[in-house]
Amino acid sequence: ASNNAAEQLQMLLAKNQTIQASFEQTVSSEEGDVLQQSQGAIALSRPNHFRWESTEPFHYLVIGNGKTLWRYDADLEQLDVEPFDAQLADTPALIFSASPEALTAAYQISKNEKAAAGVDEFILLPNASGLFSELRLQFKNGGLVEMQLVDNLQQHSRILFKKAKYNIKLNESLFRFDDSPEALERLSQ
Amino acid sequence: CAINPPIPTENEGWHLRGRIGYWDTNTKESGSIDWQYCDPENTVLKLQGPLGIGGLKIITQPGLATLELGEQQYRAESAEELAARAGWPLPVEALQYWVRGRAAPHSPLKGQMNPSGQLIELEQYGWHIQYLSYDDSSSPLPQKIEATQGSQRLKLIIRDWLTADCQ
Repeated sequence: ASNNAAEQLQMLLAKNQTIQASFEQTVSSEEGDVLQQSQGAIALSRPNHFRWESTEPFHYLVIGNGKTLWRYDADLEQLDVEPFDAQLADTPALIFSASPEALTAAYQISKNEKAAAGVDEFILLPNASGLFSELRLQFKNGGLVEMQLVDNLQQHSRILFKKAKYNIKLNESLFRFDDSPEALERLSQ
Repeated sequence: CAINPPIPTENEGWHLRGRIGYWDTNTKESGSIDWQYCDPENTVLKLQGPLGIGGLKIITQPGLATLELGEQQYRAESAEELAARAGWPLPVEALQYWVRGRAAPHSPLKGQMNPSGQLIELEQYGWHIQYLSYDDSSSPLPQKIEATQGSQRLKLIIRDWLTADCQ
């Protein structure tokens, strides 16, 4: 039954207390032609601590720590600091830092029984309309390997996680935006 | 030297891709822009969320502009009207010229050009536009544009100028 899928997902997420990985993202249109390819790195630490930095082709950084949300567009040199608000974060990374209750409250969760062997694939359909209409999470041997989503333009985003490290101690500074001149300088390379 | 900047003889299409940011007292938006212009009644303007996820698309055809926002579709007479409805109140009509380093036609303006004939500053429709960089010293195509009007601020970084494929 579906709640069993939600429980399974929560168990897997709970096993991934922290994740650090690089990612490759491909956004393609409904018809399948590739619109955009980007890459970057993520760091997640439950609950509510995440860092999503895309470095190519544009440089955009989102950091949340449950209290504050930083969004920095390095190309535009635009920093936006707001009280933490899931809606504003625009990133599916929130799923990992969301508490089990928040997860089951916000999404219909089911399992794709026809997923490839060794892969646990969960399908999340948001109850409220927002950035995406469908999100899929794939785990292999308990670790997150891929995320797919259909966004509000019916575009398909596929995010592959590479060189993922799980449950390692993550430096707290990862989850604070460093607006010192040197850090901003580094970001604008 | 302050002179009259080139008035467009725009007939060939164009296609730009880059990053766009818009600020006002209570809105802050940024993301990717993909804009193809074949002629005033045949354009596709796409704004994508900062991480490539989500966004909006405005298509103009003869006599009609359509906004695609999620499953909803909205119709209006102009792309400008639809952009404002979608939370991006951009001066779309004039921007079609400004992004090309030109002034919009039929409207009073003050412009300044550099010795190689590139527009560096322009005032039109109450907006103050600054051309911060061009593709290269002789190219007429801007790369970095900043425009302000009152509390509104718009920044555009054009990464690619492509040829439009207009059926």
